[in-house]
Amino acid sequence: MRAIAPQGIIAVLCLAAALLTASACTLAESFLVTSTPTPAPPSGALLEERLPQMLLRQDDLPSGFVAWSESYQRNEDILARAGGDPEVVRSLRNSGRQTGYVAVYQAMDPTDVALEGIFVILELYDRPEQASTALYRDPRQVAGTAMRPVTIDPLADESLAYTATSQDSALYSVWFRKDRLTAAVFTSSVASDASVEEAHAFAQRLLAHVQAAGL
Amino acid sequence: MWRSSLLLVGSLLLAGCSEVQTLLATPTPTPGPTPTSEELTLRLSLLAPRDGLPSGFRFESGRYEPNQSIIAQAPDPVSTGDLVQRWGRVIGYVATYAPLDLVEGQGFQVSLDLYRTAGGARAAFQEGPSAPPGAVVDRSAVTLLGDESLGFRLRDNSGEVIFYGFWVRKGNLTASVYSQGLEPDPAGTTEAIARAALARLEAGMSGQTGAP
Repeated sequence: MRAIAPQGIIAVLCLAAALLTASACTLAESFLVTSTPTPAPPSGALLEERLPQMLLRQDDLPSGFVAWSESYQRNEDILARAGGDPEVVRSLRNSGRQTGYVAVYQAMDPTDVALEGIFVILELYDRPEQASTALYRDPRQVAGTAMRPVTIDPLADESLAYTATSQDSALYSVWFRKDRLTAAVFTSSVASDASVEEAHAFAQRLLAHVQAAGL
Repeated sequence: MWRSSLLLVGSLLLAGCSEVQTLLATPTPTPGPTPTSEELTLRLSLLAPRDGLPSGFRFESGRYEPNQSIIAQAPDPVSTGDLVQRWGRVIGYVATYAPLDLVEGQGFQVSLDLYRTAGGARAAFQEGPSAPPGAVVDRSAVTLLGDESLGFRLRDNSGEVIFYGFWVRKGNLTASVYSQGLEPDPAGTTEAIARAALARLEAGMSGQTGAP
């Protein structure tokens, strides 16, 4: 019998990312990339259906990792969790967010790996400008942990990255926008040699699936 | 009602006993080397059906269901833990499917469960579905699928169907389908979903899971 409980930090990340999507954030320091013109994307409903196809796949993951859980994260879910908080309601309505999708990846045998987990969130907006605004809301405050910006090679239409490290773990996040979709990849690691390049590599694979899905 | 039923059906396979009549079939050999439990564990999320589904529905969410979480949610954790151990359940995966327009009370769930041996899966399967207090399991004749299969509907005290169920076993894997609101042919549609799940299981057991 093998019973795996989600790693604590991953569970915290899920909560933090959910809050991020619904909260009003301050402008963050960012690393801008020149926008690239793209062909007309699929309609909103079709794109929403394709969100699960954009996720990381088995071949993208380290050996022994699985998609532990994945789910749509609709505005209704966020509003329900917010319990009618008028600030959340107002912020969400003004954001242009259509829907989102989240996935947590982790090893079946977590004692065997330095990488504790990977967390991915995709969010779809009505318009690219709204997605861009969302990308630059402050993602540095995750679960009360101070995130600091990190320089990365540009991804998609625009991108940025942050990190938070402690004595025994490192958290990296790479965020990008492709047209009216934003994506974020978090990696949590206990390895002393963990780097943003690892999260960036996952983000690159994610971007390839996003593009293959029609964006 | 849909969400509460999902909670309800999630523990059915591991719930208490009831008399069982199952349709047994001769196991069908699968090509190629048989994957180990470890290999199937890693593939389980890929075995949830993503195609061959009723039109208008899509994959909504999925999660691994370890023994630990089933035991923690069970009304009687000790006896559930004993069953899990006796049957040699390794792990499960639960996928939920919703209508594109999110109609309340419509949708279905597919639960995949992996056991160490086909005998363990068969023992779990033959425990059969049991009804929670205030409900009745109503067995129905079904087409034989996989190594064994069974269909049923869960009714409340007034006779109203709460959900339709269809179980299928293939080797050491089982798939359980639970549906609500799949009119006009809920039983037939539920069986069709079970066929789609079985196709994924058979592909997974022969090592051809493909991309999700």
